[in-house]
Amino acid sequence: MCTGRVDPALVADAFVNGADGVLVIGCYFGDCHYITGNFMAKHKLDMATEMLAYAGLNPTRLQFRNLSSAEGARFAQHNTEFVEQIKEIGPLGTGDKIGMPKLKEQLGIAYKALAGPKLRWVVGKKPVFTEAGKGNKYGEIFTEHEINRTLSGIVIDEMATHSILAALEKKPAAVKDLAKDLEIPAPEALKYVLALKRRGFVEMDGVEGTSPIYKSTGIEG
Amino acid sequence: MAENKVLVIGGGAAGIKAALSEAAAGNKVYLAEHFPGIGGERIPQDRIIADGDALTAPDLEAIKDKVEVLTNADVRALVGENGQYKAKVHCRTPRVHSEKDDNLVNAIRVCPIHMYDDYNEGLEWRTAVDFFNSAWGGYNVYKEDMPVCQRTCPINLDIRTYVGQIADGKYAESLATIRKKLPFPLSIGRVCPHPCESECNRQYLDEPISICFLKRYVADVEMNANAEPKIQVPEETYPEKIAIIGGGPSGLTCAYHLALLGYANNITVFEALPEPGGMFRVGIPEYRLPKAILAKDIEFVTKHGVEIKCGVRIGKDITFDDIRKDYDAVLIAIGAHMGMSMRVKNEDAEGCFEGVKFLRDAGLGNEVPNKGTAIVVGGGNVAMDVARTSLRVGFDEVNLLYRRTRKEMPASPWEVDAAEHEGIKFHFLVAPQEVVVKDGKAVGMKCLKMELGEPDASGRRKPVPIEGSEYVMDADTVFAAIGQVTDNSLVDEKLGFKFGRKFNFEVNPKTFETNVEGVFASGDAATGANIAVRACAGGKTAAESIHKYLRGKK
Amino acid sequence: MYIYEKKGRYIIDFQDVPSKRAEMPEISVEARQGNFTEVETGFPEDVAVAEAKRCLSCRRCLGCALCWAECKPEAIDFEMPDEDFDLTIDKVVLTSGMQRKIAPIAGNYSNKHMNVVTDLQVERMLADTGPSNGLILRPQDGEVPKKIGFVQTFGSVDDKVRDATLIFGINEAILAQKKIDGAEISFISPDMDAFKASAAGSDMNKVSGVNFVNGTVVEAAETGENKDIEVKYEANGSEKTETFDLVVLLTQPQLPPSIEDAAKMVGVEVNYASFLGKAGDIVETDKAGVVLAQNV
Repeated sequence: MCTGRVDPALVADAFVNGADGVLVIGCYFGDCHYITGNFMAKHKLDMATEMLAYAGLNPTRLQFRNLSSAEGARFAQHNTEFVEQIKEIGPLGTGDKIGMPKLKEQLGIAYKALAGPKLRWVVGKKPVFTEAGKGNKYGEIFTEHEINRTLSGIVIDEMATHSILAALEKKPAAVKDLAKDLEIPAPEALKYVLALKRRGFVEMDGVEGTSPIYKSTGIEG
Repeated sequence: MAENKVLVIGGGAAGIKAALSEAAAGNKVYLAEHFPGIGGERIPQDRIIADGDALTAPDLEAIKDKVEVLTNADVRALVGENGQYKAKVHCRTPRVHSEKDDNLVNAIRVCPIHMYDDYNEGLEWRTAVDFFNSAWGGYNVYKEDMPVCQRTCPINLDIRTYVGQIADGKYAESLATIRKKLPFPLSIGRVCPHPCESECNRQYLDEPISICFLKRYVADVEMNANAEPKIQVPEETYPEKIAIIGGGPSGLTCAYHLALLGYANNITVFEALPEPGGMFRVGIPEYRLPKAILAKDIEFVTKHGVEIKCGVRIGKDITFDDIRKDYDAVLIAIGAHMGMSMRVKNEDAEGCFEGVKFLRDAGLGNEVPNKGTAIVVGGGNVAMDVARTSLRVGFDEVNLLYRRTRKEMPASPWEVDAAEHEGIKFHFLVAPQEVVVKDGKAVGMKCLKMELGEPDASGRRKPVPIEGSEYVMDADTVFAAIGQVTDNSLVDEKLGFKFGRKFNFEVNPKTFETNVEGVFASGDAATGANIAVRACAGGKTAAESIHKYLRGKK
Repeated sequence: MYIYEKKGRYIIDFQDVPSKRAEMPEISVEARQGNFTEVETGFPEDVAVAEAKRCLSCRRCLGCALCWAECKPEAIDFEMPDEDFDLTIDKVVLTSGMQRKIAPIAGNYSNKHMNVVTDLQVERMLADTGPSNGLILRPQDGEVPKKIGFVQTFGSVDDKVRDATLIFGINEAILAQKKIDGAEISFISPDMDAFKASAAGSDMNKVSGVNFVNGTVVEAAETGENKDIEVKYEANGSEKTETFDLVVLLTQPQLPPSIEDAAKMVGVEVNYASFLGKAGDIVETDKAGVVLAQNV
């Protein structure tokens, strides 16, 4: 399989299922049979790394390396090196920003976000948007900085949105409790909840004391 | 009675009510609204509400049938008399054909971008594709024409791109992006008061980004590496000859763009002073913009096939009529180099100077007054330049008088701070009354203290004089830096040019054409004293208009 | 709430790691004396790149076409052009439009206090179809406020505009009081006494439960963990301090540029007060066929 087809959600899934590290090895840049497959893989894995690191994973656990199919010895070397690095960090939940079981929960949310359409679509546009003469639907060319910033923005958004949705699926809650539990600043949590309400994922479920309570509508995000 | 046609401007509750009653009277009604939707619940604003009386919402079903609603619409022209009017209404595209899909919920749910929601006053987020309000719908894709920084920039530099290119480490590309519009990155990168930064969206997060100095950075990279900038002008050129009077920011930007448009080697710039650069050279002091660095920017322009003739004053060395005869188009970009009068007694006494003249002499290396104490009157950037320059040429003490408070000063705050650090003494709420003269020579300034009065409608408190508070401040030299006007004596009255309040040439603000055929004016000479980048922007627009004029003639 | 002066600005509520703006290095004041050496020395490379990376690259629609893939065929059309209409008309009706100016509170207020909102935002919150289902919410934490302060931070010049401004705010106060059980509402305006004495204010005796104060706001600051707003104001010659869960800023109605331009083009002189006659009336101007629809 071409590394270009390694889906970021697949990688996240591996971590959710307990993998301590994921190493993706693709052809050397310029050697791709499909011309841009390994570049695409790099873009996707960069984004996945950002997302998973934001969720709390130690980014060393996900790596991308280049190799040709004739380099058996180097393949072994890469693997040994990677295993050494992972051993040093220890099993999932040690050496990461947060420990288990919270990390697993966070990774599950990251998986949902990566499996959703927004990130995979926009990351797929990265080569087109930055290439002179192509660009977006309006023919505008993005700088690398801009497309990376846009992706980071979506990562932050998706993480917040999906964690709020996951929390509300468990039980209805007020904004201030969501903010405390999910460690999102309360003003932003309010905006996310209102945005979800506007799009029909969440609805208001009465007021308790001074706190309006929100609940999930059950529509899949 | 024949059906009348009615245009209602504004889709608020009053507009909708008026539209419905006009429609009920059998008229054909158009309703033009600036935003993508109309209607929605509103609080009554004409009466204190009684119990049970709550928000009201207009009847949109009726309006959909009876009135032609133009949303996203701006009235661009409206002329006529006596019940006969012609209107041009421009509707910005919504980029959505609502009739092809009346429920975009799936599209909205996947849109990755959220943003300030105009209808709900920013209380919640909308996505880039979304409805305007739930009452009307009004699906639209919100595409900006330009980011705020670019829109604020007078010459509309593509800031988002060139800053992004710096972040990517592509300095040469970044400089090329700037030079598509602006030939003076070294100079503007140093002296611009950067209106773009005061609009920067980052200020709502922490602080605006340093756009101006980033421009300077990429320009400095090229200069410090001694790299040759790439010069690219069209190989085929047009035969028309163009004269540009004034080799300052506006004139040279116009020359540069004319060269890019295909007039290289047919452009002559006439500069009255011995050196080119205009206010860049003789208005902005060396410590803000070194002459050697300015020379680099000017060299970049001349390399595009622009000839600069220095020391030629039109109206004296060559007549304006000769210029008009010899050239197919003329641009007047002579700036505003004449100081405005303070309108106080004795202001032409010995020892009183125009601030701009002092800066000009200092910039050209001529002799300037430099002994004792100086008073600078004014609160703009020119006053700061005069004050900071006088300290450098040797005055022992420099006092600056301004009739309002620091907050109202038009000068850039960082210039005021720098002047203060360097030791300029500021006197706020002081109005000059009269230059005190002894033996025909200025020896001081009689001043009147002011205080802040009642706030006006905008909340600004106007200064009012305190009676009997006159006092005299000693000085050997008095500089007036309270504004500049244009010296328009180069053109003959017979030509019939129209002039504005600052003796500036009146022009069509879109094309910079004067009322005399084939003559254009830009920069301070057209706008009155203003910032350098606005002069450059005028020069660029003038170049485009001259091109259009010359091609249209053929 | 961040309060933005202009509608339709390209604001995206961006998120990024806060970082300080790079400072331009300068030569010392001593080194400037008696010479014209350039004061600012320019950014070093690392500073320039770091500063450039602070750029938020503001863009609204990305042009990614994800929505286009999700809607019915051709419903979203990125190349759809603008449209121009040339109309021949017999009558022009001008309205006042909806634009309001914000006069900020003095003191250490920087448009950034989360629990300060405008009267327009409260109007949106009070609407049943609005973002909060008709509840007034504190932008800081989404809670319903119990103690609300309506404050007017500017003095009105025109009597009619003053009445329109105050009626809008007072109606909101009445609705808020009805909606929130046990709400304590104060209404501080320098024009309150003048308004009560005017014809428009004659209905004020019907309003109960709101504490109307004729006073001038001096300062507002955030206080405590909940970021409540402490308002200092002068009334009856003495200074008072009150702490509110939510402060509502009254805004000054004014004509939007689109209406001003249209009036100028057709040659009639109007100001906001021109639209404040009897509600719903149509008023003639000195140009035949140009009328003003009075606010309702």
